[in-house]
Amino acid sequence: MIHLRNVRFKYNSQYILNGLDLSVAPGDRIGLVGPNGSGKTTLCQIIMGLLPPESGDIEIFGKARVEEQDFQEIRGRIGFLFQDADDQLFCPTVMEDVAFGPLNMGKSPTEAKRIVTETLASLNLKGFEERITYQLSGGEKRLVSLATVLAMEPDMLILDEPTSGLDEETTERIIHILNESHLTFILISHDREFLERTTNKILKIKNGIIYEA
Amino acid sequence: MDIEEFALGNSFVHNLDPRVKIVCALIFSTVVAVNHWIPAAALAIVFPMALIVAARINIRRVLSRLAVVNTFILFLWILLPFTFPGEVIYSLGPLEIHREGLLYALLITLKSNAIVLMMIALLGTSPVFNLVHALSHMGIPDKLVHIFFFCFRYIHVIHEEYHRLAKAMKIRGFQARSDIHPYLSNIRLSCWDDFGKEFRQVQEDIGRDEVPRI
Repeated sequence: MIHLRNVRFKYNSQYILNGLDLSVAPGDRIGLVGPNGSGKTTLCQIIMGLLPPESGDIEIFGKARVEEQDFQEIRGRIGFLFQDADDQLFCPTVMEDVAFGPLNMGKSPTEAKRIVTETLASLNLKGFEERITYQLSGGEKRLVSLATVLAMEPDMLILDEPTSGLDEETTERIIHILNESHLTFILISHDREFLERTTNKILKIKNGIIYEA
Repeated sequence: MDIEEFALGNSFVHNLDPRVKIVCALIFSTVVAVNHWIPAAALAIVFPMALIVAARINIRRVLSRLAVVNTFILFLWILLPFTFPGEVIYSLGPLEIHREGLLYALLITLKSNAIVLMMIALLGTSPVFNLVHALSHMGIPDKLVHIFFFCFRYIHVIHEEYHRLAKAMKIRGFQARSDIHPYLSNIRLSCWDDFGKEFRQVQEDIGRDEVPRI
């Protein structure tokens, strides 16, 4: 699904990613670990086309992705969860926020509404439709963010620390959702136990390249 | 956009005492603003240019900032030649171009560019925090200093917010189109809730009641 070759990315004249290679095949459930500032988030944002790499080849869904336009096509198919839920949510109400993706994908307002109700129900968030997004608690924000991602019915997920700051019960719920889904995903996390229960492969990023851990 | 993009550097312009810079910028702007003689206004542009060269800051970025200012001035070039009374030098049907109008637009262009360049050369080459301290040391009332710093901080916050919003919308398949619908739903209300938090933060940053002087 994803092939990165020799990707380099510089931040403040220091190479964060230095000739990194990564391959993701359908069915892969990858846990991505590494120390703070090692480039995990940067790598994911490069895959989503939010940051341009300095050099290297990016191939996603069998096509080379270079220009902004190439990435627009993949954003509907790869769901991306930001590390900070405040980066994800921007509409006044939960309903609008979760419906935003489906509407952009060309769904009709009625269909979008149906998707929102279903997605929220699947995350135990029934009745959240009219809640104000920025007044939600941290954990609720995280779950609603996940709902905005799942509502787009993606082929793949990239989740940047989906469980940090969540209580045990909510973490369990996320583990359950991930294991129930048959999606390919990349999870960034520092929580080894969480990764062991959800992934089938752990990759470590260090000194700008990826090792199998 | 980075307001402090020219602030870091090691030239004699960067190393000047910020109080000296503020006073010089003030005197220069006043003199240039009250002047009505075009050759003098043209000459005034030379001084900040010399300072900018001496400060070794990115000329291309300076020009792109000037372009923003001159976009506003462009409207004067569209209006003044037709509306300012004086000698007619050209007629376009019912519209007449007046010599004095053209000269007035030229004068304003020269003066504005000279002042903006001087602000970039002198004030742009100091971090905003240093300017805040300098203002405080110069006896400017703390309330005014707070307001100045608050404006700077808030421009930064709004800019960050814009980038966050753009990213959040992008990953959800948003593409700018001529349809107004997507924009209507995207007024981020939390930004206004942050306003109070931000103001308290500024107060904490620069001291509860007054700017600390060292």
